[in-house]
Amino acid sequence: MTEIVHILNFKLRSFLKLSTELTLENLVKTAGSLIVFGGFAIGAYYFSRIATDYLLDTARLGLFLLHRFLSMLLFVFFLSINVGNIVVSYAAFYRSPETAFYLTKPLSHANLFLIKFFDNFFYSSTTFFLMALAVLVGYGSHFHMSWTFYVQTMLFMLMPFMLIAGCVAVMVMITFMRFADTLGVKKIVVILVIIYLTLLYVYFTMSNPMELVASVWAHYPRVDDYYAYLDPPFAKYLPNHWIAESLYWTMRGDPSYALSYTVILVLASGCIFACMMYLGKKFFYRSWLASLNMRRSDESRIPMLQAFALTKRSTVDQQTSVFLKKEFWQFIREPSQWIHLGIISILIITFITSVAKINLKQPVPFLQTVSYMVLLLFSAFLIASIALRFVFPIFSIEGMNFWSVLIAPVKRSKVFWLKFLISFVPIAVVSEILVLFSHQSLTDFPMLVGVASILMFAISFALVGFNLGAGSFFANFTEKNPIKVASSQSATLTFLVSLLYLIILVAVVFIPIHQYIGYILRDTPFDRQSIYLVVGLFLMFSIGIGSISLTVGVRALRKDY
Amino acid sequence: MIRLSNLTKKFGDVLAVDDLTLTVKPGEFFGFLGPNGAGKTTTIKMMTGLFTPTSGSITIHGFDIQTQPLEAKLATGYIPDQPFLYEKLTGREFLYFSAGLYKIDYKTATERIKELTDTFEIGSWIDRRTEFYSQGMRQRIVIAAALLHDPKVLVVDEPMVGLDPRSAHIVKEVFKRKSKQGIAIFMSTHSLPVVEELCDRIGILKQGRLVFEDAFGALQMFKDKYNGQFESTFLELTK
Repeated sequence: MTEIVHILNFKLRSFLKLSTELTLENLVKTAGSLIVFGGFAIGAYYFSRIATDYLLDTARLGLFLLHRFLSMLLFVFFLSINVGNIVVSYAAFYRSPETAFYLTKPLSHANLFLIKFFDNFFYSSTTFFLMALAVLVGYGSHFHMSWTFYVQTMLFMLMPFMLIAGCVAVMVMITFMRFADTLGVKKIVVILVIIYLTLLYVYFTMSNPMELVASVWAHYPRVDDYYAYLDPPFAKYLPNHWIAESLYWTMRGDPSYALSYTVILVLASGCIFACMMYLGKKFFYRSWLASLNMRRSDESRIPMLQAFALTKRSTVDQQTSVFLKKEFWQFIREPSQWIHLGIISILIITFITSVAKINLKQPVPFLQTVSYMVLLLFSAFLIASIALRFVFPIFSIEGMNFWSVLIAPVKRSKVFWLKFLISFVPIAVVSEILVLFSHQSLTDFPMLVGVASILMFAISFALVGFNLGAGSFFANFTEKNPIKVASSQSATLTFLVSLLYLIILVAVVFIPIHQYIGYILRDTPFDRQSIYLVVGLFLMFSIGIGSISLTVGVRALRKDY
Repeated sequence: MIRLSNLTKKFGDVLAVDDLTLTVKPGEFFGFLGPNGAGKTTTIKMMTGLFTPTSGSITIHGFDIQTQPLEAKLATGYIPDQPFLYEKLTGREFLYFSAGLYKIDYKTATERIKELTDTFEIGSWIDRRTEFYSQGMRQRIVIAAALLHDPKVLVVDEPMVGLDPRSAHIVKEVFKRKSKQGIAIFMSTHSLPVVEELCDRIGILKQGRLVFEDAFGALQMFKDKYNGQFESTFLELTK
């Protein structure tokens, strides 16, 4: 135990030293991070407060339904933390040079495993934890709860809840590594994806929110009563349900029931933590060795990928050809890249198939405009997230190997534009696919498809340009892990500006779109020129943002390496 | 031909290289020495275009590295002190990648890669990912990559680190041959025996300034003064 405390102490000191060096760049980054997280926290607080007020006071949903919806949200939250921990745990446990370093020291595998677990857990879950706190304060303020309620809920409910999600993630990762060596990585990834999608599907099919609302409202006005018989049978085994139950009974003023669910949650987290430690002690080192074998697999033998072989002759410009091929192999041979891409692709597919089925038509122009803007913003937010995750780190992950390109007779601007090409083209295609699928139920508004298509193209250009420029400007060639680059302070600052840009989008296009929808639904006056003007202005603004960022990025690449 | 004229590099208030002027002629083997932190690697990084000089100029094979960087780089082969390679590429892929960056046609590249792989005895390692290479194997790949395009100038930073005696011998023989073919070689190293064996002329850098620069033979009188050992001479000059 002493050695764990000793190592964690030094890790913390090293982190604090890094974060508190007084330079202008650090100050800007810290201020940016504070604004982003503060903004998110305040937004989450108000959203939670307004939503709780609306659901209980205006919609009169009742305590039971509110906490069942809370349970569903917590289930999604659990999966998010879980998947986040899985992705980060691969890099933290198996790719980190620190693991190899500690393996050479007289430190037991179990202790090393525990240190890496804490590393992974705090790294992947801190943001979620802070956001959860903001939501909890919003929710609790509706019921005028005292500060002790928040402390108790955070310590004895949210912490154990997140610990369970993190422990399960690490257990999944160890099992994955254990079997991937014999079954093959791709089979295991496919099995995992199927399991997670099935879980999601079964959960939301069995706890059908619409049926639940209808069943509870049949008892109106006694909507605050306890209708546990409506819960699906498996619900009582899920940690999200335990939190929801505990909160429900707290708000009903029955602390004994609330306490029992809290105790269950704490005990379960302890048991799962113990199971994870057992699994870690037994399999971590073996799975680490297996991860070395996995890295030796050679995808270049896959016939389909032969066209990208660096050893093949190319008909296009040699520098362009070898550079693009190098990028391709670097990407597909780096598990943290393609696993994350896989997860994001599944999310996009789930989003477009779901949104294609939803009827987004609303009878009231204002509601129709809001639903349309939410859809557009969500698509834009998705593009911003993809750009942050895959475009921002694109220079940093060149790492210390970048010298071989920089000393070659290649224009640095050419390197930059090739990076732009491979980032912009796929993201622009994804954005247009999002437009295509999300507008299927909006055929009554033909102009909106064209508007969305132009706006999403502009957004893709601006966000890719901005992330690429910022990624070049803030390039950190010593960090190998792209996930860590994408969650650094500079990345957070970049994301803040991306969000500001999206706010400008809403501010600029809301009124003309609202007028157009009003014209279609209610035949109110509408001047087509206004929408053309606004879309044109936004397009020019986006091109401007993107171009300035790209110029800054090219210049940054000319700095000393 | 390499020509450094009044070369200066500052990092904030720190003067890393101070008004450095020197020339390395075609076929000349120049040894660049100095204690740790003297500014050797900074000078080399400026010569290869990785750093921009604060003032002064660098001409490689007649091309200014700042105004004609592509031409200067095309004439240069660079072997860095740390052989970082793209870990996800195999040695062969990295060599084809380098060949493509220097626009070497496919047929020539294939022949040169075969020739250099044999010369540096890389063997079956060539088709493994470089992330599994030892330091020495990485160094061999880096040296092979630097020679792929038949450079007119070789800039070498600590070439023998990590090499086993046989590989070090091969590398030295290749350098000697290249020097005889008229290539200007600029080599920074801490290995005094290597300098004694290979270099025609040496320069000693101390705190960014050149404190000695002459033909190797001229060192003899210093050596005689300090018990005939190059090591003692070096220690005295850099004291």
